[in-house]
Amino acid sequence: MIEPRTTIHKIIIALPYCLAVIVLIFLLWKNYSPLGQQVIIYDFAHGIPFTQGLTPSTRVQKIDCSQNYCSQEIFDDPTYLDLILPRKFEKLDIELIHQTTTYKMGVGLKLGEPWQYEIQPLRMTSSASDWTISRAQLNLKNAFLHGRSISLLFSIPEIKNNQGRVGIKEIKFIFSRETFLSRVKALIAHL
Amino acid sequence: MINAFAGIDNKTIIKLLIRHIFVASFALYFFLIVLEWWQPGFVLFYFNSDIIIFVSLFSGIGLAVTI
Repeated sequence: MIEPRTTIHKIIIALPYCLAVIVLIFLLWKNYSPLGQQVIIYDFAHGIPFTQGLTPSTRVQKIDCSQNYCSQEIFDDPTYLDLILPRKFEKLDIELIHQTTTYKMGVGLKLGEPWQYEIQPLRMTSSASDWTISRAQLNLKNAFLHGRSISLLFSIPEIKNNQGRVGIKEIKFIFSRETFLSRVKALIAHL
Repeated sequence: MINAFAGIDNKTIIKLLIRHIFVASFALYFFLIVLEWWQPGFVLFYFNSDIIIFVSLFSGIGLAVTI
């Protein structure tokens, strides 16, 4: 009668240590991304530690959360966004949910000082009612690093001439690199 | 072989549990501080470590009360 309770008691006592180990494993997983991919979503509703948001403030409206989502309007060009890299990655896929517009949009990656940016066009991939999803891919290998941050540029050149505005609802950053397994395989192949 | 838990009632088990929660959370919080110092952002980008200090604090209080 006591034996089953004893085992259960031991399991209960071990729980706090197991939870502590789970927290550490979670942090190691998030920081080292063994699957080779990490996703950061900036939806304007909550601040995230990886970015301070779109700048300069003279080119963007304040974040508006009056609807059941938050968004921010860009009314001048270009705008910038500094992003802290969790660790080294090779590619960055950017997915932007923005108000449907006829303006050509691009996203750029800073490659050097001063103001050297490689701009890629944002290609529309899907559209639903007033919102459009556009994507672009950037090669991070030559990115200019300021500490651990990279600098991105959002370009909508026609917005200046037409005094237009484009609302952004979400920016998704999908970082990718070789998986841990493929690195191990490559290492073994070299031996 | 002596069974360390033989004959122990539930109240004592709860005391033991609080003690181990305190030890585990205190050690984890200390470890997280070291990790964050070693690699800024390692912890804070993904985890609110305040949760751990609260658990440690409350379990410490619980431990002090139950002694």
